[in-house]
This record gives sequence, C-alpha cells and structure tokens, in this order.
Amino acid sequence: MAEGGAGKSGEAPATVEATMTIKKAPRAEVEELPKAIVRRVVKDKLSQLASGGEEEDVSVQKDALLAFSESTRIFIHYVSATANDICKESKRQTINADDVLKALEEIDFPEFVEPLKVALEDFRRKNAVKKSGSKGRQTKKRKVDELSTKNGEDGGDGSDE
Amino acid sequence: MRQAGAYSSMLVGGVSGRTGPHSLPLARIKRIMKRSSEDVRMISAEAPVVFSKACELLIGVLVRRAWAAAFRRKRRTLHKEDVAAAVTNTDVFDFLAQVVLQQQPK
Repeated sequence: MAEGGAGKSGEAPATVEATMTIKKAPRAEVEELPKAIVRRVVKDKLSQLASGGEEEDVSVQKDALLAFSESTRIFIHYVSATANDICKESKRQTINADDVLKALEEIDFPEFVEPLKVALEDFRRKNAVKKSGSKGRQTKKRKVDELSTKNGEDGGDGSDE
Repeated sequence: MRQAGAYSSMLVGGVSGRTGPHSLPLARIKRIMKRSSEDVRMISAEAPVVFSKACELLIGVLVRRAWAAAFRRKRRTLHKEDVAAAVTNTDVFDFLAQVVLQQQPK
C-alpha cells in the first residue's frame, strides 16, 4: 500500500514526472501521520485483543483507518496546545516531556502517564548510553556534551537551543 | 521561529528514532505539535518521543472500543461507524467528535 494517497490516482499519468509528483505526499496544510504505521499499530492492538480463535482475523476498513489516523493527529494537536499553555505558565520556552504528561492528566488521560514515564525512562537510558558511546552525535540538550559530567539532569529548563 | 529552525535539524539528525520498529515518526509529530498553537516555540527532543508512545496508547483505547462496537454488531471488520461509536460513547473522546462528524456516513 502506497503512502500519501498515491493509490487514488486511477488514471494513467501523462508522464513519468506526473506519477512521481502524485507519489510524493502533497504538502497540504494538514500534516498527516503515515498510513502504514497507523495501520500497523491498529493491527497490533487488534491482535492483542484477539486472544481467542475467531476474533483473530478482524480486518479494518480504509475509512476506519483514516478515522484512527485523524483522531491521532487531533489528539497530538489538543495535547500539544494544552502542554504549550502549561509550559507558558511556567515561563519557559520549550515544551518538555513533563508538560506533555501534565497535559494528559489535565485532559483526563491519567492512565497514560505511568506507561509513558516508563517509555521515557527507557528512552533516556538509551540516549545516555549513546552519549557515552563513540557516536558523538548531538543529543537532546547539549551542544558540547563529551566533556560534560552532568548526565542531562537539567530538567527542561528551556535550554534547548 | 529562527531557533526552531536550527533546532529542527538537530532533532532530525540527533535524536534517533529509537522508539521501536514501528513507531510514529518524531519529525512529523513535531510538525503537528508546532501547528497546534501559533506561539509554540521550542520543543524538547523528549516531547515527540512521549507523544509517539501516547499515540499508540490512544489508538489502543480507540481500537478496543471500536472493536467492541463492531463485535456488538456481529462484524469482524472495523468500520468508521465503529470508531464513531467509540468516540460518542466515551466522554474523554469529546475532542474527537469533529473527526467522526467530518467523514460523511455512506
């Protein structure tokens, strides 16, 4: 399945370039999430639900997938706007992970917070390993981090330039 | 948004997508975040990571409820109306009401 709605072009394209143009996701105002990934997440969740026999082959209609995708995008919007407000209230310039977690509590998704904290810790651990490894890429917060003895604990002070 | 521009390249080049084999792309999440308010300035590298996982959780809840709706109607295929039912039946999904209304029922 092609991403970016290329599957919609039923008519024969006049030129190869036209095909290529259609293939690229149109840069509309709306930034969508990749369909393939949304579908895979949906399928994963379904297979978790279907622990029994007959439910195993639950399929998903295309318009349902679009609804999941759109819902996720709106979710990001909504939570981000809330997190942005929380961030501004603390007089900071950078939305950090904690703002997002607080926003989720504020819009009544407190049950998400714990698993997200776990995922965040996991990410931080992996990043810390990378920092001390030989990759030497710029990681989240620091420009010069090889010589730094701090392990990135400056908790989101807006220093993410 | 000058700083955000410089920061974008750092994010794309710096933070690896180590959020799992099939997670939502961080750069795109960040772009969606930026559009949520006019005055969004900088976004820490961790915020899209949290969102990536949060979206998975959201999809999980939506899928479970939509599946329950389809199951009640003795179907094994999720339709958009099942998602709509999930949204309508769940208070915390009020903000999603517009999503299922926009799509016209057949």
